[in-house]
Amino acid sequence: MKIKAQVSMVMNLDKCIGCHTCSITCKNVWTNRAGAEYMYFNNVETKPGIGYPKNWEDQERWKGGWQVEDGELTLRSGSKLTRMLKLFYHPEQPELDDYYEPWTYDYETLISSPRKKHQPVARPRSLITQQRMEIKWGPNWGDDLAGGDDARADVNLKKIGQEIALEFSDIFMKYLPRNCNHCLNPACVAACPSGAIYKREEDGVVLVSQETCRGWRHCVPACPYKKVYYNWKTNKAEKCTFCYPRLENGLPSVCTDTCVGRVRYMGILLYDMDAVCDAAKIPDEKMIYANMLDLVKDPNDPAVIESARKSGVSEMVLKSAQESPVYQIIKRWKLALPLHPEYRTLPMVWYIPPLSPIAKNFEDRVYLPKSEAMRIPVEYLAALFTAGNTRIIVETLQRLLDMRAVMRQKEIGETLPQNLEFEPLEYERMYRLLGIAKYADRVKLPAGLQGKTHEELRELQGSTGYACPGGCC
Amino acid sequence: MSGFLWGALPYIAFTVLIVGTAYRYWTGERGWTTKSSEFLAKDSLKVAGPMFHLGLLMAFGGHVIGILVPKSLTDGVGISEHLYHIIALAGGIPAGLLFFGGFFLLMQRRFGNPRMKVNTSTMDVWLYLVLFLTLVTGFGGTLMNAVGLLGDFNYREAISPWFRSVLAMSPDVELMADVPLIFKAHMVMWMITAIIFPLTRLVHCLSFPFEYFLRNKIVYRRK
Amino acid sequence: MRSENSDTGEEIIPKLSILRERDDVVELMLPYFGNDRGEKSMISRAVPVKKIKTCDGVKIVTTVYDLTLANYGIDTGLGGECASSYEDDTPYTPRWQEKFTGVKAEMVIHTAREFADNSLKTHGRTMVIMGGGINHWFHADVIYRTILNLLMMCGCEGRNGGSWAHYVGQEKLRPIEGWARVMTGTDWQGGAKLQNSTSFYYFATDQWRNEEIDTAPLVSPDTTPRYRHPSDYNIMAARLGWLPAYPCFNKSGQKIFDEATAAGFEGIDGIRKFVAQSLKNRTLEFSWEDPDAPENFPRNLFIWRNNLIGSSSKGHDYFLKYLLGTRNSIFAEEESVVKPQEIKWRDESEISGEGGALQGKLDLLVDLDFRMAASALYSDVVLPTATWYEKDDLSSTDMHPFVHPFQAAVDLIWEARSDWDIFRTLAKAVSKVATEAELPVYKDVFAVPIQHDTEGETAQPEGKILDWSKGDCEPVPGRKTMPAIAMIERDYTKLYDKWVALGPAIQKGNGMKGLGWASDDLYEEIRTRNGVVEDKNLISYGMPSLYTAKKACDAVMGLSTTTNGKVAVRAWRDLERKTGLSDLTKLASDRESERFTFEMVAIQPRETITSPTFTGSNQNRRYSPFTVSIEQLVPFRTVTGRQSFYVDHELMFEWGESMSVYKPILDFKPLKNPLGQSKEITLKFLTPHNKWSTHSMYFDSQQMLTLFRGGQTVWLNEKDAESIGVRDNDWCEVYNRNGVVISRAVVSPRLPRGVMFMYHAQDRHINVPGSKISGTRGGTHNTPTRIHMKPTHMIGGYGQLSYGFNYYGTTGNQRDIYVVVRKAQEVDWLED
Repeated sequence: MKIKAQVSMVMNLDKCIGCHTCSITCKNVWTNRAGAEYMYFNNVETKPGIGYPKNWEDQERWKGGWQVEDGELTLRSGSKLTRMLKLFYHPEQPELDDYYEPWTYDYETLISSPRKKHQPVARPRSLITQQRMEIKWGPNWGDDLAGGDDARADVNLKKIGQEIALEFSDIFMKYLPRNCNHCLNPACVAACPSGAIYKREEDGVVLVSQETCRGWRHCVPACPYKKVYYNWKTNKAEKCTFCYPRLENGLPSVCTDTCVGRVRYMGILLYDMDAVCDAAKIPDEKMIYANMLDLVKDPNDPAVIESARKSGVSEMVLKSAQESPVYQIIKRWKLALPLHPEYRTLPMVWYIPPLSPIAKNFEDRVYLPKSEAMRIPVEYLAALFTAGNTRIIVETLQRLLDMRAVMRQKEIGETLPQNLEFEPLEYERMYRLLGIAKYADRVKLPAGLQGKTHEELRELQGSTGYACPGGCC
Repeated sequence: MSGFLWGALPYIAFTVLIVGTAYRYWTGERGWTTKSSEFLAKDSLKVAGPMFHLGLLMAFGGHVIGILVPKSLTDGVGISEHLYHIIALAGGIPAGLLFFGGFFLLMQRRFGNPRMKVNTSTMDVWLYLVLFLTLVTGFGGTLMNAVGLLGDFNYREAISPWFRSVLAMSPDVELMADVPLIFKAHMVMWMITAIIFPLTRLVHCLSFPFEYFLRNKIVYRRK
Repeated sequence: MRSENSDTGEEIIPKLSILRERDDVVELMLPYFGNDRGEKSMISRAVPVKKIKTCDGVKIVTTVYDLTLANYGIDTGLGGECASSYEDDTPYTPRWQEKFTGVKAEMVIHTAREFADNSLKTHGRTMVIMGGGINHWFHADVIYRTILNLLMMCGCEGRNGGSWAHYVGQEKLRPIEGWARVMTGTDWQGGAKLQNSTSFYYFATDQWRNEEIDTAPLVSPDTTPRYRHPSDYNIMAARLGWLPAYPCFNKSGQKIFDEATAAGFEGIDGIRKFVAQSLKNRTLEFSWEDPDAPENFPRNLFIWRNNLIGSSSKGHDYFLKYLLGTRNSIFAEEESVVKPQEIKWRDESEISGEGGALQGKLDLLVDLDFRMAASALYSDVVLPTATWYEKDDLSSTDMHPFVHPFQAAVDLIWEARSDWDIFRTLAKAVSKVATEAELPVYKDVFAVPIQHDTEGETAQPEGKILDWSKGDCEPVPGRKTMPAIAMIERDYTKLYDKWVALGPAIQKGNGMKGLGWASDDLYEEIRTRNGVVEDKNLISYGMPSLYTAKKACDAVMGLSTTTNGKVAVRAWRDLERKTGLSDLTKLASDRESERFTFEMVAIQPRETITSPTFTGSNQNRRYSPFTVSIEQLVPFRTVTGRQSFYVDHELMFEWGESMSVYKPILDFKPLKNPLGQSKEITLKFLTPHNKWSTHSMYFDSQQMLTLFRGGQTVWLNEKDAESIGVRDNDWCEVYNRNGVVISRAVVSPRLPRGVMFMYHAQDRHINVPGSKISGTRGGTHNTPTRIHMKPTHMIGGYGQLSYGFNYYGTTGNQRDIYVVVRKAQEVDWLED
């Protein structure tokens, strides 16, 4: 057992309203520059939908993530040798039009237009070619089920085998915000020929070294979530950094901080690094979620604490892990699920699945229905979060329903449901964390992730720009 | 003039190549990239990219043999001049066709697609010109020689030994005296290429990821 | 409001129903509007009554509850056209509603039972959130009452966690008592001209010339309407003092004063008599009686803190045509289905000449803006102003009890200034010019409508309409049969002097909503805090300074109940005096020593102090409206002092709306003759709230536009799109008699058939081409819409229906609209 710390995130899809504040704030901080303007480190998709880039979930086409061959994990995009052959042309690389061609407008026309017969307008032009452009696709083209046929092309719909017509009468919809999952078994790291992408030992954040990156761009197709991007100006790869400069100071990522609906949670998970490979390569993909849960260790277990200390996990990080809201949600209450565990990258951004309104054709006469009576088909959620295991979805949703039942009982004295999984007090804690969701409860990050000694910090004090002539800092 | 061209310029070229590239690596690793433009124009790269690079590798291999392996050696193992030329052409013509053809397609792609502008710096444009001239003098010269337009010129008796003498730090300028103009031009072109090498995207040639085969799949690093 | 005999103190237990004690059963004919188009009918219901002896003879009475049950058609064993079960297709059963809504009866019953059951179990914690989604419809007032009935019957009003949560954009400033004085200038002198903008723009943009409403089909079947054209009702409302009407008279205030003086009328009473007389003998008229006469045009318009032209102009192209006199896309023919009686109708030839309405009524349009959106594009002068992060200001709403600051995070750039500074600069310039031109003091005589929360609410008792112009009574100014007549002396040379200081009128007292209190000590405190005007040449020398926005904020908060505890206590004390209740001050006494300042709210936004100006208490809990009435028994501000199911005004009877009733949406053809050149479809046109902007704000930022389709869009159902050959992202023309929009289609299964959404507000300056239909650039989401005025919103001088600023009606509803949609034949970018 080798215990390491991983910064992890949970998103409560039951509360996400698809406002896209997270996308805008991330973009304004990180990707508002030429070469990166088309990148959304964080984007929000409407599901059903093909998302951004187009149909990224179709691994038959994109060959992202891992697969198991002869009991071993290999990247779906091929062996190391195959990768070398794809150096000069990579058939599975997404191109600009799979994302969208970024544009702006000739705003100056509005101000500088001379007297004319008709009112002036600002027209779009491409940020790549600087030429006049017709807008034919964008990073969120299918918002709120815009473009029905695109929504129907969602591979998850195809996977569940039912006939989902998406007519007005049976329509369903939810929002899926996504950023880099900072996986335990990242495919992007494995695919990079120059070793420029790495996972940080201290907190598990996955980063691309802008020095070492040579622009081979193999990471882009390798990531099954398509969360590594190619900068067409610097010709290097970029990705969500989990806002690590903020993490190192105990602050959450910008998306977490600015989330209007308070749906995001950040905290530390302790995991067993030695068991990662075995967890990922289990042949039955429906078992991967269970394996991931096993990887996450109890931060109060003395054996875990000892191993963590041995591996260099600091006391502050340990304490943080013990207070971790994401540990509560993921492991203790089992409310959050990984996105597409069948990609085998072991993603560390987890999702609480959404409840949804009662389907019109269901005649239940109760306040809180069963999950099968809800609009969003359980099979659809299973295709997203459990590699098709509907039982887990039903159980997870039931916990949310039980929480509501317990809180209702507390207010008006209705009878509690039978066979509750937890004590009523536990559900109240759940309600406090999910319903009230105060900032201070949602974010528990140690500020001491710099990993520097006292002397080192002393050296650095006030030295930015002055120390290291020649700029080697 | 020939003293400079064949006795001094090669050393200038090598020096700039090595020192310049080292300097760039040291201070400008941020900008060290393949400058891949597949993102901007994928379909047109499908054939052109592999074709060009394959031809390049084949041509490079052919150059290594043709220049560094002395005639005396091949004679010694019983490969006649004629046989050598058959082998060279059998490898070289396809290499040249791939190289040239790929280059042509790449040029069409680069200058025919408006999206490629953002991936094409001024240096890239000069590089295209330099590479083009290098290619055309080399391939052209080879073809002309193969059909006998250059008399019975044998580069293995002039250029190759000259090059080896340069490497040995004792340049034999005389060897280049009667080399046909087109091959002389080819020589000048490689030297120009070497001089601009550190200023262009060509540095990516040095980054072939050999270490990838020896590396762990997942890389951890301390902060 | 206590149920006791005020003379004897004896408890009164009012009867909910007199069903069991009835003396008789009476047949009540109620209007029914749910038949097929145009066919009205009456329903016969049975109502139990008691007979009462009065000095006017025997009268029959019943309870509102009995009336309400009869209205709903509930079978109480008395006969009449009632429903024996929910399954009967009789108005207004769950089965009956299926044909209108498509919602199954079982679902309605299930929901209603849950609603009631939950209300029982939680003592009223069932909530309905409603707002813009409803009040953009013509009959919103009736729909609101329907929902409020539901909440009232389930005991949800005035309960935390229950009741009606009103989510709509009429943001009221919480520190209202201070704000109201400063923004109207009534810290110097009385009488502000405040106007409900719907009526103002209806007349100013001549939408009455192209009216599609004929009131006859819309009123109760058992009556003929007083007027056929809605504008006539509005003019009557102005005449009877129900609503403000500005521009006011067809003569300037000064001219009226001069004429009165010349005729020997002296003092304000004399002027009032003179005006009443002149109106009666028609030597003086209201401006709206002749909106196309040049002397009645509004001439100068300042746009500030909104995007009038690009966003809120309902009937956008009428604004362009009549207010601005510029290119528009209205279909040529003007055809009002009925002509107004009270308006002088001038032919098109008359108004198209030099200086006529068709040249554009406005002389000057000034826009304070920071975006070159439509308002700025169409204005004569644009004054670049600060954005939220470049100025100091306050922000609050009536829905959430907090006061927030705006603060400058960065300096202004170029020539931009904050709004406050701009208006101060303008005041200075006006004063300078007025002084140079030696303008005399201007005596402004104008009308002020009967106000809510004043004695005026009893001016026109029993809801009867007495129209002095028809001889029903004499015109008596003040809170009687016509509006009050006010006179203000305006000294433009002193505008700046007054602008930079808090005026002395505050020292005499302040108030709100019928309550009043002393404010001289508050004035002194502000003088100390803000510093004084130091320029000896100004008449405001020595008075509290309002030079900067921050000082103004501090003054506003120092004068208001919600931000100054001792003012709240005073207000509660006055309410105790008025109501006879004795324990109201405790709602604010725990915070009596608090006085908000700008610095304080900048450190942390503050929760407001509980005040009688707002209907709910947020003392140690979240704010819910009407808790003060339910818990403290403070009367509701209605005719009865209670919440109402029944409104007995004559105009409400005319429209059949004494009780809540079903009314279908207006159903006018989009235009007389569709173009028919290609496949077309007629769709309902709705304008829900945009996701990518705050109204039109932020819509044009590159980031927000990138998050969706990069320009104007219209949504329609897939099958509807297919029927006209439109695919996703195709250009479409959307038009009706009010104008033409050309926009890209979003085709989705998310909409039902028969509906088009054009989210508000997308303006018209980004990526909008020209349309071949109109020959000019496509319009805004308010191009296909127009103002529909509903007479029931205009009632005044009667209880809760009386006029109050930003309070109630005429609503700017605009969703009872249909459009014709077709694939755009050609997209011309009109670069010329």
